Amino acid sequence: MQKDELYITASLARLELTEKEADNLSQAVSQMIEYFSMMEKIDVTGLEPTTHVSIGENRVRKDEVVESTLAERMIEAAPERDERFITVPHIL
Amino acid sequence: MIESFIGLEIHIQLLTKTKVFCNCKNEFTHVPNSHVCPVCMGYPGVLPVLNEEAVRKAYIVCRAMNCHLNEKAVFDRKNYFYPDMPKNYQISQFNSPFGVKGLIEMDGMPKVRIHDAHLEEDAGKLVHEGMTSYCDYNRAGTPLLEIVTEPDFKKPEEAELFMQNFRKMVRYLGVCDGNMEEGSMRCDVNVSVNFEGKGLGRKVEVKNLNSFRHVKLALQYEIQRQSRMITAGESVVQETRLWNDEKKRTEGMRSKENANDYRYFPEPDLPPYCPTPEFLAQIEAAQVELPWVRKKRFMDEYGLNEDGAEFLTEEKDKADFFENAVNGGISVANAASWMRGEVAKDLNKAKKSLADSFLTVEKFVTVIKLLEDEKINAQAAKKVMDIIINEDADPMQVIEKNNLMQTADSGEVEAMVDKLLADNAKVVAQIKGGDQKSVGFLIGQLMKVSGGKADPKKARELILNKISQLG
Amino acid sequence: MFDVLKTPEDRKAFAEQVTAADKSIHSFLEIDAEKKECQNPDGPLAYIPCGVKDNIAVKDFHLTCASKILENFVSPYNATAVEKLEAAGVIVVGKTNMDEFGMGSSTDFSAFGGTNNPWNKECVTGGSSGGSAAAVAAGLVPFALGSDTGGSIRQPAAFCGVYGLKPTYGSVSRYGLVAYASSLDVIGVLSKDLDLTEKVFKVIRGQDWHDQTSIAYPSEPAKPKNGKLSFTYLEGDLGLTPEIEKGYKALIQAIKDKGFEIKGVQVPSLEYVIPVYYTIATAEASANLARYNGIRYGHRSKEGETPMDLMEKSRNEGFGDEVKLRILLGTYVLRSGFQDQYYIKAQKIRTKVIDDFKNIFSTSDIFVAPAFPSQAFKHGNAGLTAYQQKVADKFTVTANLTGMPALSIPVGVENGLPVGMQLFANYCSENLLFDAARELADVFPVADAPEAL
Repeated sequence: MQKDELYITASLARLELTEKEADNLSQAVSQMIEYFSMMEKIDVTGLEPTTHVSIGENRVRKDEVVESTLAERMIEAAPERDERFITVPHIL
Repeated sequence: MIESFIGLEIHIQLLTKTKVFCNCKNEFTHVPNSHVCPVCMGYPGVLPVLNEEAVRKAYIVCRAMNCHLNEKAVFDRKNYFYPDMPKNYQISQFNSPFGVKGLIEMDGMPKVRIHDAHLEEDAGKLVHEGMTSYCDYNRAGTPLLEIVTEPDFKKPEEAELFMQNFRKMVRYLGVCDGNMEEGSMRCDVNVSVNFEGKGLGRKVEVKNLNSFRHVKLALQYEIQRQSRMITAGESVVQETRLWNDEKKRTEGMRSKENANDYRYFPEPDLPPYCPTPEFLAQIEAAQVELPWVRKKRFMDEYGLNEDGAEFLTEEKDKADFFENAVNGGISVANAASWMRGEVAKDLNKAKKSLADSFLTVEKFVTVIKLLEDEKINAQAAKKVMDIIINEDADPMQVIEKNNLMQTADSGEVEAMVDKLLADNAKVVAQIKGGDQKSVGFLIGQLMKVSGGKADPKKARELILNKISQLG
Repeated sequence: MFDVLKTPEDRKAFAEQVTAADKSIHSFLEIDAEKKECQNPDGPLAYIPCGVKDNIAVKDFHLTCASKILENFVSPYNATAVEKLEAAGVIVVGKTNMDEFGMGSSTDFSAFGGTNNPWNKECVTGGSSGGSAAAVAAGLVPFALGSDTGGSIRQPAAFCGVYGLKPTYGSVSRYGLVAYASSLDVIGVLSKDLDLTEKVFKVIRGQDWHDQTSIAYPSEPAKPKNGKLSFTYLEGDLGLTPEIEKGYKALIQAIKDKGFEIKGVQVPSLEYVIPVYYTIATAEASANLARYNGIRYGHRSKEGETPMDLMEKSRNEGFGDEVKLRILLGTYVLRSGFQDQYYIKAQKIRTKVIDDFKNIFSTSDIFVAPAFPSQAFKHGNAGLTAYQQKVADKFTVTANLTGMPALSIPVGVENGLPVGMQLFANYCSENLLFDAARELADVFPVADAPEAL
């Protein structure tokens, strides 16, 4: 895979890559994508994609409030916070 | 000649008790991160669970817009990163949403084709202050229905009018309160221009519109801006712009957020949704006469003028109230004038809505019927109406308690008139001499003597007759 | 081995002996034999201690998924499978090691060091549920929970000489299992005791309102097609090492000797299952792992001046190389312009694989195949490369692509290392898998690793 393709992909995945990482990874990624290309050989005419395996349909739940008791615990688990807010540096 | 092509992307927050994919309260609160759970916070290992009421309300809107309801609806993941996104993908619908290819027809407007309506979840809220952004996930997971129209609007006024009516529609259907200022209904526009006959131009999307007015102003601005450009031979850049209401103009966004590959793929955690005939029958039963259709019918059927029909169809409960009242046997004229007049005034004073007040159709009809049968006069009716709006009172009891029944016995009234004429010979003489104004004085006296129970309408005629009989 | 922990003395002894025994194996990332109480002293699994793979949520234990990005993360809630076990009386005593986020076949991709195979400490345990397999093989706990997305229970079970069940997709709730590939992941069981494996499965299965992909397990057990179990086995040039070839032949012969019908079948679509599996798994994983960005929990980078910067650095610092590779692959195959030829194509081939197996099970009950082409390989460069490990997954991934259940069974020891095989069955036919395994248990009794407790 070309390096710029890799960087575009990494950017979409919000993954920062060092130069060295990009080198190693682009090789490994290329190897796998090359391997994936063998799928071209098989004929799939008339076949629908399987998106869900035998799990039925129309699963819904009732519109009833269940109060979670975990709000405070989750706020405390935040790496940075200000009172009840979770904080990040300001977007410019 | 330059043509404009306007399309709308509307998001409405559905009125459900819980969020779309978890059981947290779907309700505004001032306490940050309080209506949250591991699911809507995107914790490791959790899964979305679809809310049946969000589905029902979504389908009700799809059907109201005459959409084709897909036999198999599928949820998709829309992948992008942002601090207010708990999972950094949004569960939405892309390839096979609940409803597609709908149509909305309103008088005085081009037919608006609906591209699709799909259910999705809202993101959290970010508040910026200084060097920090504050994340609050209370709103994350709120059920949203996104409605995308085709670029069928030709003028900004049409888009504004459409939004006003669309708001009424979602309120009529009971699915959303349609409040743009509070954010329960949001609207982005896309607009392009081109020389006549050349088809669609290069479209620009405009966001950050917080009212119907902004929608109109932003469109007017954009159309002007784009028209100037193509007239000068420049090409319009396809981009997303923000409406700046202070400066009354649209502005390009600095960041290159435009080129986003969302990599949609079917949501593996949620099975497809295939509406059953029973479900569809429920959706059909939940349909209502749309506000603009009802307004027109009010004008045609009841002979109301535009203003009157507009007022009465502003909210569904008002329109229902009016029709039920007329069906209850009172005149259209009275039903309309009393609702627009005294009732509206009293509700305003009490800062209540029709639904909040104690007024019912039965009580309203009772009072107006008595008025129409001349058993009480207008003054009395006003008094009773005020009371039964503010208190849980029975109109007949109020009337009896306050002795407001007009003296039905015309004999009694005639006797009172005779006595009055006898006691006011001078005035009678004046009237005989051509002084019409003094009749009013006698009417006033009659009202006093009868304790307000004489019928003022009949009083004038009666007094004049009696005077003429006196020879 | 500690079958039950009834008294505080039991727990103390457990903590001491297991911690000591685990020093040379490193199957546990966290051991705490005092944290949990037995919630049902009369339950079917009362007082039985178990290990839980560290990608399955146990309240107040860490949930690291063997990743730096969740190194200090403590779970505030229980997975449904864990709730059910506790309601049956189980005592969770620790979290077991794994390949980071389930991505690997060795457990050496754990960010906190690999696990040594109790049979030969120079060898890997297999992965990604290597810690669970080793803990059970070393006699530290009677059973452990694992997860299986492409073979992550069955392959380490085969490498460590224990039973490993991957149940039917949807039969066990995924609520509380940190998602790797949502349409492939299943929670399952590892144990040396076949009956206990079945008992645990019956406790943890069942429809869960927290998981809308979970199914209601049929109350009637599946029946063999023709009164008696009938078998098929995978035929062809499978690329097996001599030890595995020997074990495979022995198993097929044993089935014949027991008087069961067994026929060889070819499965041409097997040739494509690896690219299909990795395309689908990495695609789903790329989205499932997007939530780990240092904002709401987990590791957050000390650098990063904008939120995007912060996310990118946190993820770079927190994820290992294999995880980064799979995220990149998954993102790539979903990209506009590439999705048709990779992701959608893979989903269509998946349909073909499902059809092929539905066919096989229309006339037979159990399908037999190896679990992995070789026995446990050595740690580090002497072993298989990451790429080689991937292409060797072909025997296991089919069960995840189809969603059908499969069971790893030990069939002996060669050169000091276990040989394991796989039995596959149709949807919701786990009982047939257990029946078949029981039939073979006297021919292939479970062996104990040297130094096992």
